[in-house]
Amino acid sequence: MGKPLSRIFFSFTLLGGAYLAGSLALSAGTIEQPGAGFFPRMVGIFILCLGMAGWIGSLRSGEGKKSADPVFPEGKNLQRVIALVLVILLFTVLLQTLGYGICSAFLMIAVLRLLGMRSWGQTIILALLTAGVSYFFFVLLDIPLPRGSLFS
Amino acid sequence: MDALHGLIYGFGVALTGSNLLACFLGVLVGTIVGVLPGIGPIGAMALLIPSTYSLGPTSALIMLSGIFYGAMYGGSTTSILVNVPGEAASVVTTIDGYRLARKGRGGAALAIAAVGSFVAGTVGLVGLMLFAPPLASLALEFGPPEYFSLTLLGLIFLSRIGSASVLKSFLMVGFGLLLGTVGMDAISGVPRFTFGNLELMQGVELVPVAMGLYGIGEVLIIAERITGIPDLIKVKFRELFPTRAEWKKAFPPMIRGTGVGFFLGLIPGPAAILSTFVSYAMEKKLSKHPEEFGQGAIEGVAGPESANNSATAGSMVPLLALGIPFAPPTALLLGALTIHGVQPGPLLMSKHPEIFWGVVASMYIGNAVLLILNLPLVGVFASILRLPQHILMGFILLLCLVGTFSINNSFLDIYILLGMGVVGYILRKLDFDMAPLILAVVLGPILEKTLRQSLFYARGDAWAIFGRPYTAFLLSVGVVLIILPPLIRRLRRTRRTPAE
Repeated sequence: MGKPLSRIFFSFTLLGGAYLAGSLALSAGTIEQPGAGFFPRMVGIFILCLGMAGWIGSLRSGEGKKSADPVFPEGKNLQRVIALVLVILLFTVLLQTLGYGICSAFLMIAVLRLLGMRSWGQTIILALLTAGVSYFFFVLLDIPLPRGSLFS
Repeated sequence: MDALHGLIYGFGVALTGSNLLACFLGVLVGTIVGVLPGIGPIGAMALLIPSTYSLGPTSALIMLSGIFYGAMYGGSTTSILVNVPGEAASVVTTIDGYRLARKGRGGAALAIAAVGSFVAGTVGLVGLMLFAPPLASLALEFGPPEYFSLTLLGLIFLSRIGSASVLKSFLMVGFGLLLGTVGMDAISGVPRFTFGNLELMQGVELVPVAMGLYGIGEVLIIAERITGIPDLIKVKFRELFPTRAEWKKAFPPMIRGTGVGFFLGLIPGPAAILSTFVSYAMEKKLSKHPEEFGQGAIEGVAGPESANNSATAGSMVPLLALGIPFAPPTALLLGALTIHGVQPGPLLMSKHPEIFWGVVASMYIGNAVLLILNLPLVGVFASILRLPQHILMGFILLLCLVGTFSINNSFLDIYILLGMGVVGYILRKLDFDMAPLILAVVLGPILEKTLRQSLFYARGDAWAIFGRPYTAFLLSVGVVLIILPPLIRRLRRTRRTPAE
């Protein structure tokens, strides 16, 4: 688990540093009357120190040992996870123009195919069905759905 | 209002049509998400917060807490029948529950789990009724320094007893506090870390963060491996009756589990999950036949399944009496209260008795409904698992996306959801605990506000803060919690070295 973990700690160190830098732009006020930057500075230092401690610790201990089981999937399995993230991202972008109805059907088609459904015919029927059921369900619960700028 | 009158009044509130329906819906959804792996009570509660907008705050809280304790019932079903825990608080139940099912005693295990949950749930409620009002009146004397130290202690506690390392948990607390500071500063009105984005001025919402970490993160983890539909062990209705010997064995663990669960619920931490492990370890230690544990001991089902239910009742105490949530599900309940414009805190009980007593009474009703739902209908719920996983995952995705959008009709929230989903996926793979993160997002703003108020009030005089008895006590507990465990470890190590 050496490598990915030390990368995460390093990212947190960077995040803490950037956040601390951002908080310096805000007024810290005085100890009697702390300003908007007071608490963020403390949090920034907290994250920075912990991130660094973790990073140094993981460099010292974990890196040399070989890990028996890779933490993250490789090859096809990794591709599937990344593809799923991209599909959701695309869904969100298109949602603003195309609205929920069309997008949810396409999202379901993509998800069903990605997660192992073979037949295109079945996929499309199931996707339309799920999207339809979910639409009905949300309308029933009074949940607002994005209608899409194209149609409103 | 004393407890009896309060309860009678509460039943008056809970027994109205809309509140009964809310309670029924809540426990039904809770049972379903408890059964389904991949979506737990936290995700489901986050999802349904938006649909409670049209309800009043009382019905909203009744429904959402129904999901919380309902999931504790549903979780045991799949643990026992398929060896797949439906949610984290039922992991322990798989150890002996599934063995019992393989031996043909699955029905009895389900019945004991349901009855244990019912006993613990109702006894825990009595505890809630007795503990919460005096705690609330004590808390009326609390000022900002007390609230600050209580919140701080909560975060320290949670990081100390979670499953991940302390460093990782504290880092999650830091990350949560960071997210909590985004938006307009509540005291000075200055925008912070908004990058000029107007939508970010309102701050980062809890729902996209919680649903991203738990919902999307889980979908991504499941997407790594394509799995088939699990094998279900079938249970016939007449097999549901445990034998006299089984009852006799199961009863003491139920009572002990109830006690352990409730008290763990009172203190900060993922009480429902933790209580199951503590109860299991305790039963194994107390048993005359510890070798039976792991081979299908009914005590190993009865204890933990009772413990997680009374823990839910226990964790409602700090939420309803102090307005401070100590676990992620109650953090979501707090979020729901604030969305409905109700100010949580020690005055909740006197200002909104209909909420406190209504919710308590609804939990009695909900527990009874759950007993009925989970015994005769157990087969129906278990068959939900036959739903192919890709359809289920697609549905969960749609729910997360729509649920997030509906809070503010904001697309930014969906991007936050997706971002937190990826972050949650990576962090969970690396054994980070998500509970401190969620809780810090909620407690962060409280922590900051009370700290600044305390400093303002103290006018530079440290004694004005640390000289207050409750503050001094709470803060010293926090210091002990940080210092003691590493100290003990070091002492043990030095004692071991000369011996070697």
